[in-house]
Amino acid sequence: MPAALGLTTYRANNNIKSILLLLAFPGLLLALLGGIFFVFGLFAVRSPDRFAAIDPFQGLGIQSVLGTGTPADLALSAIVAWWPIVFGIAAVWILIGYFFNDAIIHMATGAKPVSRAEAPQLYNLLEILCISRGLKTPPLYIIDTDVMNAYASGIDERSYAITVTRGLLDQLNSDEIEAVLAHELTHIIDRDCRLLIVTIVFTGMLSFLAQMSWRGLRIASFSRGRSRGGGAVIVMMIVAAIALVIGYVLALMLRLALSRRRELLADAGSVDITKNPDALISALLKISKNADVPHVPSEVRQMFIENPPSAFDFGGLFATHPPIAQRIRVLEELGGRVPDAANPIAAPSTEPVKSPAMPPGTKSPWS
Amino acid sequence: MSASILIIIALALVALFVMFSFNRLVALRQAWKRAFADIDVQLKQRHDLIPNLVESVKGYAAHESGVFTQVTEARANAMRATSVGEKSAAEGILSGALGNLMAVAENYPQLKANQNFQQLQDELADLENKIAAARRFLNNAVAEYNTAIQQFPAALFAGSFGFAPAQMFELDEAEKAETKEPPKVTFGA
Repeated sequence: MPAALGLTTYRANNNIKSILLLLAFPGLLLALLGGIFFVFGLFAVRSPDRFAAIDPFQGLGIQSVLGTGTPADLALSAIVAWWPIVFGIAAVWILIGYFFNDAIIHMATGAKPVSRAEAPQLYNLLEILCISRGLKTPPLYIIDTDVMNAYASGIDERSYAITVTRGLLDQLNSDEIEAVLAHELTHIIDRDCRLLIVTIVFTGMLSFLAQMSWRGLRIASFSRGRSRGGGAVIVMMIVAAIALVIGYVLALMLRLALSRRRELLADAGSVDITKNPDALISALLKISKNADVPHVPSEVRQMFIENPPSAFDFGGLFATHPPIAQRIRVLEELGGRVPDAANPIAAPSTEPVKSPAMPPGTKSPWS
Repeated sequence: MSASILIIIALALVALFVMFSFNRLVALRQAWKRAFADIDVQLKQRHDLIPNLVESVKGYAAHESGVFTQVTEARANAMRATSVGEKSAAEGILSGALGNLMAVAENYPQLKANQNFQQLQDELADLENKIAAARRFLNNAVAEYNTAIQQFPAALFAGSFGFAPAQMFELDEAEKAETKEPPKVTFGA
């Protein structure tokens, strides 16, 4: 049974991972650059003539490398020549990520901010959860879709936010919504969302770069392919394809750095805050029926409370979330009960979110 | 020569350790003091709400003066309390008095139908939830602090640095009954 909150080690690990990723990021970009030139060099040493005239490399003293050097020399000289640019790009991207990560994520998911006046009950639920953990209440966002899902985002007090879908608000009762909010709040407490944002911003950067180089080369092949050696262009496209693969492998490695355990910990954290495992179980059961958010990029989907594995997932190898059955099993160990058939979970909620946040008197000293 | 260096290193390590422990205790003490300040905000809001609530009940049940003075006195006492212990006791009494006030209100259907009263009632219920949440946070923080000052190495110097055990914001009696503690079972005579 995973211990719930107060997991200072887990939180510290998340912080360390975030910092390591930040530090490793420029290095990864350099490695990517070197790798591309190494592969390029493999082709170039075989037929130097074809590559001598390619523009981007003329300024690098690559001409001489083509004559005498090895692919490793080529990769090294490219890194030596271009590292300031790579570091500059990394720095700019990190700054963009730092200041606009929330805006980027909310744009990718289509989430719109809601004010306290628009959703008083929802804010009330969240505020009480936050008070019990001594946290500032983060702002809420809503995605206008029938799908049921939720996520927490942000890297610091300034940008923390919790987003839920309209479908979730419509179809879950207030206890279940509270359980979902507590789950997301735990992601904020555990700094999961910070680590996720860091990885998403980076994997986003890598796949963006790979796609750009792929596209750029395709354009280059159209404009130049006929006048100069067609073979060189084909080789360069192969190189770009390899860059694409390297980018995705790196992205995959980053994804594997994330622990699937975080969802189980957040589930346990939710129970620790609300003391209501039953509500989270029924919420997860409802959510898992309709949780797919196809309009959201796959990198961002891993932030959600549930991310159903895609059809191309081999036995959950690349799954970002543990299977619902496993999560419910863990919640049962925490004392939860699966709602029985007599009380069908698909039935419309008897207590929609419009009703008072807490039925008056549930926790008050009288009544 | 080498022995004195070893002693110096050992002393430095001990000093370092005491320093870290001391800072941790300071941080934990700050945490519960902040939690106590937070709960105070919620309690203050409840104090502010009570006169309105009393007035609106008075409008329909003016002759129930006993319960009004009870609430007013309990509120005045609660507002005077300063330490955690005093506050938790006084607020417990206030909660009980408010419970009586609401019980009285139950007998007046017109009052219950009054929109203003309903709103005050909702606000009060909301505040009660917030107070309960803030109290949970305070008690967690106090428990963590109390554990830290009682654990072995820190316990050696915590007292002499003035880290006294802190008091929890206890459940009041009415709430204790509601948290469904298992009933005590006694066998035989």
